[in-house]
Parts: sequence; structure tokens; C-alpha cells
Amino acid sequence: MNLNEWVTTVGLVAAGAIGLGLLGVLLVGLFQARSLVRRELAAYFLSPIAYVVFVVFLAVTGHLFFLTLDQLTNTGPDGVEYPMRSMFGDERFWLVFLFIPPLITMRSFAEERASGTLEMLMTAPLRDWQVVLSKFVACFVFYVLLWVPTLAYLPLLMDLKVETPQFVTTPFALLLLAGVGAVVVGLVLLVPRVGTGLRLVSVLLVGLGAIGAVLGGVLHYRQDPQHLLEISAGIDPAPVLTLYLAMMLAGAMFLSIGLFVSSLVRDQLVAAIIALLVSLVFVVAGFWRLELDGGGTFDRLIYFFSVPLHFSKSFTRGLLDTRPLILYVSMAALFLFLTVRSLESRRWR
Amino acid sequence: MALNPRRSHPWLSRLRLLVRLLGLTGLVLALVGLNLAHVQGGVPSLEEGWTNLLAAVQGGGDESALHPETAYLCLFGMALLLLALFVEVILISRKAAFRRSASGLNAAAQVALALVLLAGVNLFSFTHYSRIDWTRSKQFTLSAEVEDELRKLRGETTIVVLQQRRKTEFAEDQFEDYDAAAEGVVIEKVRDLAEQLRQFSSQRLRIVILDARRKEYRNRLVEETKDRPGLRQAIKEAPENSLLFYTRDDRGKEHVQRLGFDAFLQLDKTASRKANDGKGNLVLLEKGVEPILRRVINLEERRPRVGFLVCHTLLSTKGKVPMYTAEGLGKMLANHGFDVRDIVLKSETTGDATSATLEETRVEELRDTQGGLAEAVPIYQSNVTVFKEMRAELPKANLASFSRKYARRLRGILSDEEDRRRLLAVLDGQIGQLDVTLQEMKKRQSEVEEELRQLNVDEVDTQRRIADLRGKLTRLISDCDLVILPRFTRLPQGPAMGLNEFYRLDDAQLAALKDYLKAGKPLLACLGPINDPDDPKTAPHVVDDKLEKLLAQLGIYCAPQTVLFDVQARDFAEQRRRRFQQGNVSLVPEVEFPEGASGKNELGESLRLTSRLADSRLDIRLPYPRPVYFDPDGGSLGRLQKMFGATVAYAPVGGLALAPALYLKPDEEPAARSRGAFLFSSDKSWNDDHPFPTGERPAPQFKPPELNDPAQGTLDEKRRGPFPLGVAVEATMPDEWYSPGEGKPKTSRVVVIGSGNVFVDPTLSPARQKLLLDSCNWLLGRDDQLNREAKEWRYPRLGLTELEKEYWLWGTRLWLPVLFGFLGLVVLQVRRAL
Repeated sequence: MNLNEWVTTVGLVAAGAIGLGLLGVLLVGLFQARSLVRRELAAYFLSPIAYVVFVVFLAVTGHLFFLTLDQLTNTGPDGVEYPMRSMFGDERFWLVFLFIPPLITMRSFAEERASGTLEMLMTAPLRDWQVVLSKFVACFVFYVLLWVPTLAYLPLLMDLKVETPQFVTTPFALLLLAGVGAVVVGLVLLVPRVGTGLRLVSVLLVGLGAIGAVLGGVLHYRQDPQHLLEISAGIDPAPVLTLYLAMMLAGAMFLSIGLFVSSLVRDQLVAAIIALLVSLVFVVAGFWRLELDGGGTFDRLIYFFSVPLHFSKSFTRGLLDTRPLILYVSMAALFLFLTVRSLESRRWR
Repeated sequence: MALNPRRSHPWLSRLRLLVRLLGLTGLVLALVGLNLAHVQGGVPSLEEGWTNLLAAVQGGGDESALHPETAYLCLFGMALLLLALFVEVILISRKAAFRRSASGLNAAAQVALALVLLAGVNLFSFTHYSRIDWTRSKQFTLSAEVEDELRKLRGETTIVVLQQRRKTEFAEDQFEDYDAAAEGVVIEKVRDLAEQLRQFSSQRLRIVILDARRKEYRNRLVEETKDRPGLRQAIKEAPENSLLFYTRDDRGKEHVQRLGFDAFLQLDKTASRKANDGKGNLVLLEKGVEPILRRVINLEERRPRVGFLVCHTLLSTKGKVPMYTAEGLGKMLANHGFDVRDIVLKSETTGDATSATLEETRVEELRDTQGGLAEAVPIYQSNVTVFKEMRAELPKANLASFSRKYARRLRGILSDEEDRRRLLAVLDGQIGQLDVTLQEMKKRQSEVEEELRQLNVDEVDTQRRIADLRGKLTRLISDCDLVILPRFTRLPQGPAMGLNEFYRLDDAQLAALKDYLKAGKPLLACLGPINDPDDPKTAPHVVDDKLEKLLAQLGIYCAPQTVLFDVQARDFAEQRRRRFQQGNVSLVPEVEFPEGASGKNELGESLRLTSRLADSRLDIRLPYPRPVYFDPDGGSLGRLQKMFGATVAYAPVGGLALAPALYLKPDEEPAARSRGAFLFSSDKSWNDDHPFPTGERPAPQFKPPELNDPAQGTLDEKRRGPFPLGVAVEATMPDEWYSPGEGKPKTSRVVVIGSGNVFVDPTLSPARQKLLLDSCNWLLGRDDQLNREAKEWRYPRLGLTELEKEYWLWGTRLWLPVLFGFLGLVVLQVRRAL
């Protein structure tokens, strides 16, 4: 290795170590604030707005799925090359999606502030950032769950074909099965109210089980001649992976914007409207159909800030563009940071 | 004194409010000013915008596109904004002196730092990004070599995606939904490719989509071609849906290259209709990105030059007689990025061999005209003068003396007043007529002079002075990338066009052509049959054509027969019956592109595929063609028809002229006959030595040869079709062409088509265009522009039954949302109950 490669390697290792350290701190903080996470999550599922969001979201995606399916079963020269784009690169989807993060986050701080429980929350033995992180994780989990029913579309969107399962006893297959089993057991143990020790065990089971399942799964399908389950996809599955990954990160960005706005105002509706307006900055450019693709700085800037364009041009087609990914992550981090500052500002105002 | 925000004086608070309001107003004014400047076109970029702003303020109204008022508005707004910011900074710094403010300032500093960090990270990612391709087929990934090439590119290239409802290269059938769908896919793929190219090149790539079917087309066309005449011309001339690549080099020279959509993605109509169990799907053949990349990377390369060697200007690409002109060939080649140079091989006045460009022949013609006019005008002028004098004198003149004075003109004596009146009338008429003629001649004279001025006469004169025929032709064709040599020997209607002698090349010309071939350069020869109707013999024609001998040395054998078709035999019979009436001229069958028995031929493959892709036959009909064979072994298949007869029909390769004919073995026959061939006649045809109706043979018919026919078993054997009418071969140059130490190319590409009029027409049909274009591209080694079997692209389709589809539709569109609505209601009820 030359000097440059050494420097790069050392830099990457250092960055990785710092990242892991930071992640560890966040996870520990989150574990300490698990009651708050649970309370927030429960609050979502006990509120009717969550189900309204679910129904509207699934109605829209269901309709887009219908249109896509129509194209996939078409005759003649019409069709769709990237089914995921037909669904999630569509303006109609983004028009509806725009409302979802503000609806999820609007109550986070605004409701607490309006009902006067924010002061009580701030007296809890938690740091400000832990409060913010807990609320963010709760709304993010809700957001992730919102997407879970859309997995039902995938067998057709990927043209999946599954053959009869068979039992294979290779080490990798067993690792995969053990991993899946550990995840299931861990999740089941997470449900009842138990002591800290058992809770830690369940979390460890989920974490280690997931790692084992992924590792075993990859190695099993790459190395073993026979597989537990033969799955073939007639349509490239890469767009599905990139879409869900990007959708999670984009969601994190919009949710953090919503959280920040919610921390600033007292009224939920105002919080939702302002969050929607701020989010609009990242969506509206996508509706601007650029007939002239100049490739100039202006066009590139429009693309850079337009989430629908990221999806229609990259993520729904199996491409991972690092520009929007970094934008989503950095914006999410910034707005979470600003939310923490916003909570802190109550102390010195 | 430190400012205390809580206890500040009321006037100070008001002053601060005023400053803030001023700052806000300044911001609005600056934005309005910038907007106006943008509308006035004064802000093409940040740097230029600032320069224009200053120029407008300093009174440089002529140089700046900005109105001074706009500039003042901008600057005034900015000044107010800066003033307000300055005051704010001072106040904030004073506030920082307090402890409470200090913590706030600390938070503000953190936020500012976070914002800077965010901006920095995103700026870095904006300029150093990567697009990771997770697709199975890596469809958005370019090869490492291509990436390296792209990294070398600089400047700006515009790719114009031009959509227009014109006939495609070949398909004459009407525009269909399949074509429209294919266009949409091509546009998207081009955009994708441009995005990929941008990632690796420092070059700015602009994609402009011009759709002639949309109403904004005109405005956009004007906007895009405002300062680009080359692009405008290319768009105007584009014969079909095209991708136009445009750039301007450092010297400001425009470079435009064109590519049909088909060169990138080609619609396969046959497969499209058959796909999806006959229900149809869009099937395209992916030609890869190479054709487009080649255009982008080599945009500034010279256009291929084609030398078009003809025996008369009428046959050139500028010929004006529809029956003889190759205007269609010229237009087609120009439209596809070729430069065509006509070279005339025979003097029009003497018929002697020459080598002249059209410019030279035009100068010669103009000089002849000029000379003629120079002689005629003074004569006409003098006549007019004399007639006018006579007209002036006659009314009052004494008739006798007038008659004497103008005795030469009058050829008689005027005797009375009646003669005077008659002469006056005649003179009036003559003067009028002569005046008109004279004006026309003078006008023509000035036109000729003007045209001569426009032509590079000095250069032409220099050329004309070159007496060395071989040297001159060598020079003219040496910088050509391809030579096309047509020999139009027969009209499509049948009778021979003229003496074959007229087409024979001079030895010097042949030597020049040989020099050209020796360099390994390609040749497209369209050689019509040489049978002569005046030849009383029906026996094999005496072949003594040196060009054909030259080709024979490359292994190409132009058989001395003419191919006749069964429909023509019927026409002959009909004509014979009706004798004095106009005979019927039936269409001969289309040529075919079957796979040769000796293997694949790239050119034939391309044409065959074209036919399949368009789901229609290539409509090329060649009446009276001749068979053409390729025998790379130099005579091994026997070309000598009458070994012991009076006529040696053909001498293929030097010393083998008298070698005994080697007869084809039956199993070798098809392979030998179709070697290198890409173009075949229909099987409803036969070859004939004397294809003209005569007294003894009024209706030529196929007659099986006698058993003892010496041509039996050779390529010249009289037989039924199909016959190869065109060969495309990689010919090896004979060793004897080169002196020791002279560099010898491995092979040279040669295409010979057995018809002289295949490309004669003011407008070539799409099928003939395709034949010509593919031939030229193949000859120039641009194999990537030929149609080849390629990876298929098609829309994914699901094989669901109608019932399954309905289940999915209802399940996902209705019941999934309903399920969550139901859950919501349950939760609501439970909450109420608890």
C-alpha cells in the first residue's frame, strides 16, 4: 500500500470507530429511554389519526399498484419497465406522501406543549437528546410499519416464483434458520413487561439473530447447491431494495423536519402545515417537468433537492445515488440536532 | 456603554426596528432587481452577472445587457441589506457580553456550525457522487474503457433528440403504436446514458428533446439553433427520428453528427407482435452504447468522404435528368454524414478518358457558354444598332437612297410607301425581339460570370492543366474513404443503354483505381450486365473488360450473363403476340437475402434483419441484373467456358487464363455459388447470354443446356435461379500487386452489385437507402452501425389469469386499506369501552 492508501485506510477505520462509538452511545441512550419510546409508540396506535394515515396511504399505493399491475399484464406495445417507478415515481404518490410525515409528527412536541406535559417530560431523568431521539424512533417505527403492508405487492412487482420448500442441513442453512428463530424468540420476549436483564437478552437475541440470519442467508444462497426455499424473480429485485432503503432515509428526513417544527409551535395543526410547507421545498421541484435536460448547475441543483426526482430517476430503478442519500441523512441529523437545541432553548430563554 | 436589550432606550429599539425594516426592504429590492436582470438576460452566470451590473452602473450601456435602473435597484437593495446585517452583527456582538445571551450565542454558534457542516458535506457529495448500480444486468454501468475515454472529454456537447413523423430508414409502412412506444423508450434510454456520461466526463452534456409533433417545436427549434446554423441545417436534413450530436471546437467550427434511433435501440416488429403469446409486447434490440459513445467521443472527426466515379455528369449526384441521376444517392449519403465527391471519367465533349470533378466540368461548360455569348452579344448588339438607325431614318428617307445605303440588309429595293410601311413594321418587330434576346444574353452572361466567380476557378484551372490522368485520378480518390463505381449499362425497362465501350475505363484510370485498392481502401462497384443487343451471337459474350479483370484478381467474378425472370419471359411472349402495341412490363420479384450456404455475411445479415425487424420485405427489384460470384481461391471453381472453342470467355487470374476448368462437385455447388454473397435473385429466374428478343428468339425462355455444354458444372452453367447478385467480401490483395518492401494491407473490403442502376433515382426508396447505407457502413468498417442480432429488451409481463388479476386488484386496492380501517375502529371502540 502506498501512503495515500494508508491514509485512506486509517481515515476510514477512524471514521468507522467514531461512527460505531456514536451509534453505541445512541443505542444506550435509547435503551435508557425505552419507556418513552414505548409510550410514544403506543400513543400512535391508540390514536385514530394513525389508522387514517394507514388507510389513506394504502388506498393510494393500492391504486398505484392497480395501475402498475395493469401495465404489467398489458398487451401490445405498452408496458412498464420499472414497476417500482410506476408506483413511487408518480407525482400522485408524492402529493399524498407529503402529508404523511407532518401528520405523524405534528403531535410529538406540540401536543405536549399545549397540554403542559412538556415540562413534566423535561424533568424526567433523561437528556434532551434522548427525549428527541425517543420521539423520533417512535415515529420512525410507525413510519416503517406503514410501509410493511406494501410488501404484499412485491410478489407481483418482482414476479416472484417460489418452489416447494425443502430441508437442507448445510451449516449456512442451519445458521439462517437459527438466526430467524432467535429473531422470532427475541421479538416475542419484547412484548411482555419483563426486567432489564431479560429485556437485554431479548434485544441481544433480535440483534444477533438478525446478523446470523443475514449472514447465513447470503452464504446459504451463494455457497450451497441446494436451498431451503428456491425463489426466483422474473423482474429485477434491485429496485425494490433501493426503493425501500431510500424511502426509509427520505422518511427519516421528513420526520425530523416535522419533529423540529413540532418542537417550535404549540398547535398541532400549525405544526403540520409548517412542516408540510418546509417539506414542500424537497418535493415541489419534482413536479417541474424539465423538458430541457441541460445538465447545467441549475438542473443539477433542481435534481439535488427534489426527492420525487431522486426516486423516479434512481431509487425506483435499482440505482443508489449517493447525493440524495447523504442529503437525507444529513438533513435528518441537522433537524434532530435543531430539535434538541429548540428544547434546550426553553431553559435559557 | 454596553447595550442592555432589556433596558435599551425606546428610541434605540425603534432605530433597530427601522434598520431591520430597511434590511428587509433591501432584500426585496435586490431580489426584484435580480429578477429584472435575469429577464433582461444580464445574468448568464454569477461572474458575468456581476460584471454586467458594474458595467451598467458605469454607463457601459452598449456592452451591458442590463438597464442602468435595474443595476441601481440591485445595488441599492444590496447596500441596504448589508447595512442592516452590519448593524445586526454589532448588536449581537454587544449582546454576547451578557451571560444569558452568551449561552444563546453558544447555541447559535453550534447551529451555525451544524449548518456549515451540512452545507459542506452536501457540497462535497454534490460534486463527488457515485451512482451505485444494483441492477442484475448492470444496465447503468459503463465499461472501464469507456469511463477512461469519457474522462478525457472537455467542453460542451449538445445531444438533440429529434422526433419527427417521417419514414424510417427502411419501413415504409405507416407509423404505428409500436413505433411511438419505441420512441418513448429510446428517449428515456438516451437520458439515462447522458446521465451516465456526465458522471465520468468533465464535458457538459446537454440533452434537448425536439418533438416536431408538439406545438412548441418551432419556438424551441429557433431557440436552440439561434447561433448554430450547422445544427439547424442538420435538423432540417435529418431524414428520420435522430440523435444529433453538436459541438463547437476551439476555433469556433461547428461539428454535427447524426445517428438514427435505430442505431441505438431498434424496434423488432416481428418479435413484438409475436411476443407474450401473440398478445404483443414491445421488443427492441439493444445495440449497446458504443454507437452513441463513438459519436460523442469522435464528434470532431472528419466526415467520411465518398468518391462517386461516373462517366457523365448526367449520372452524377448533381445530374438533372431523373432517368439517369444519382441525386438520391447523394442526398442520402449527405444526410447520413458523408461527403460526396463526384468525379467524371469521360469528357463530355470528346468522350476521351478524363478525371474531372464536377467543378471542373462545370467550369468547362461555363467557359464554353461564356465564349459563345462573347461572340454572339456584339453581333446582336450591332444588329440592334443598325436596325435602330434604319428605323430612325426610314420615315423621312428617300426610298432609293435608303435602299442603296442598306442594300446588304434589305436584299431588295423599296419601291413605294407600302414597302416603307411594311419595313417599318418589320423593323419594329425585329428591334423588339432582338432587344429582348440581347437582354437575356447579357443576363446569362452576368450569371455565368457570377457563377465562375463563385467557383474556385484558379484551383480548377490548375487541376485541368494536369495532364497525368493516373496521377490526377489517384490524387482525387486518395483522400476518399470509399469509392463508388456505378456502371449504368441498362435501363430498367430493358433495352441496352448504350455502348459498353462508353463505360470502359482507361488504363491510366484503372491503374489509379488499382493504386487505391492497393492501399486497402474499400470499393463499391455497381456493374450492370454487359451483353450487347447488337451482338448477333447468342453464345457467351466476349469479355474484355479490364475493370472486371481487376476485380477477378481479387476473386470477384462478374458473370457475363444477364439474369431474366419468369415474369419477363411472359412479358416477352405477350409483346410478341401484340407486336404493334405497347408491351407489358411486369415488376420483377424482389431480391432476397437468404443466409448463404457458405455461411453468414454481415451485410446480408444486417439487411435480412432489417426486413425482419420491420416485419416486411425489402422492396428492392433489380431488372436485368448479372450474377456476381466470389472465388477467393482464384479460379479453382472454373471460369473457362470454352476451353477449346474460339472464344476464351474469361481470364480470371493472370496465368490461370488457360487452365482447364475445374468442375463444381454437386455438394460444393451451393456453397461455392453463394460464397460472400448477400443479395440473391428470386428462384423464378435464369441466366441468359443473350437476354434480348431477336428474330430467331422473339421471347427468351429458359432452355436447359445440352449435356455436352462446356459450361456445365461451372459458375457459368445455364441454370435456374437463385443467383447471387451482390457479394460483400474481404478480399486479399494479390502479392504481385506489390513490389518487395511495399506495405501490403491484409484485406480490403469490396462490394460488387450486379446492377448499374440500383442507386439511380432522384429519390432512393427506403429499402435502397438501407442497402446503400449498410453497404457503405460495412465497407468503412463501421460494423456497429449494421443491424445485428443483439440483446433483446422488452417490457416485463406477468402471466396472470383474469381472475387472479381481479383478486389482486380488489385485495390491494380495497381490502388492505379496509383492514386497517377496521383495526382503527376496533381500537377506537376498545378505548371507549375502557
